[in-house]
Amino acid sequence: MKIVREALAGTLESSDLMVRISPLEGELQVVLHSEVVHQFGPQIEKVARDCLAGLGIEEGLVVIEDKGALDCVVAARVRTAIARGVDNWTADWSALT
Amino acid sequence: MDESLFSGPVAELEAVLAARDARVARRQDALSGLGRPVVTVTPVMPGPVKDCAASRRVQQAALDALQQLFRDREWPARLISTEAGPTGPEALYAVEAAPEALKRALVDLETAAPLGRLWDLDVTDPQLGALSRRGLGLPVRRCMICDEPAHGCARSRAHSLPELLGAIETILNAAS
Repeated sequence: MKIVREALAGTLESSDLMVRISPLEGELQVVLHSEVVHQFGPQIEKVARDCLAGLGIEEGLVVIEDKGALDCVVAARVRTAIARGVDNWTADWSALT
Repeated sequence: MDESLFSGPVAELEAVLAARDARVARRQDALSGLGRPVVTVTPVMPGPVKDCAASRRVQQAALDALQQLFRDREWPARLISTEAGPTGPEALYAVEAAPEALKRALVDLETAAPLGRLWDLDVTDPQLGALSRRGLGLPVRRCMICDEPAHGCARSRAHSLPELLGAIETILNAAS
């Protein structure tokens, strides 16, 4: 699937994260801001990239502002941002839940 | 453990996130409509059950303590909304107070009140946004069990859910 518009998901409340996804040609970039970037940065990025890969997203800019979210919350918010950023959902619907 | 304290419906992740989105929207409306700092009140309740005897008790105690604080400081306060249900209790207050003084007073409550450790009292200001302990040079919240900074433990799942609920029960028993 292709990201065709900028989309947001999540909040900046404690234990949540805000995900902004936008179109980008030719690469997939994940930018992470987090208080716990040293301890959990790689893990958060991995969860985000796994979601993107699972939904066939190969290009885009994903900016994450993390406020201490657990993996399941990272995944849920990234998926919602993707759903809002694509026009034609052609991935497996069960990937949304 | 007295399991009846913590039993209740399981809140699905999607519902918790949707409730959070709705709460943020309500808060935004209050901030722009009333132009005053808004206090968000929720109980600390780890795990999939957010609505239970423990969380309701904790929330009621928080609301009582806040009303007392607002009276003592002579800060006019309006209760904007309360929510109840499987995603847990919530309340929003709009308060006529300087945002930093308000945040400091709430951190004092969280630190000193018998159930304060179980209260999540956030301040959002129309101009300054969310006020944090760190931003005001106040000590960060500590884990209930091991006293490390709480956000690290929560993320690393350093303690099991039964341990956490046990710690909450200890705090509740000490306060009654």
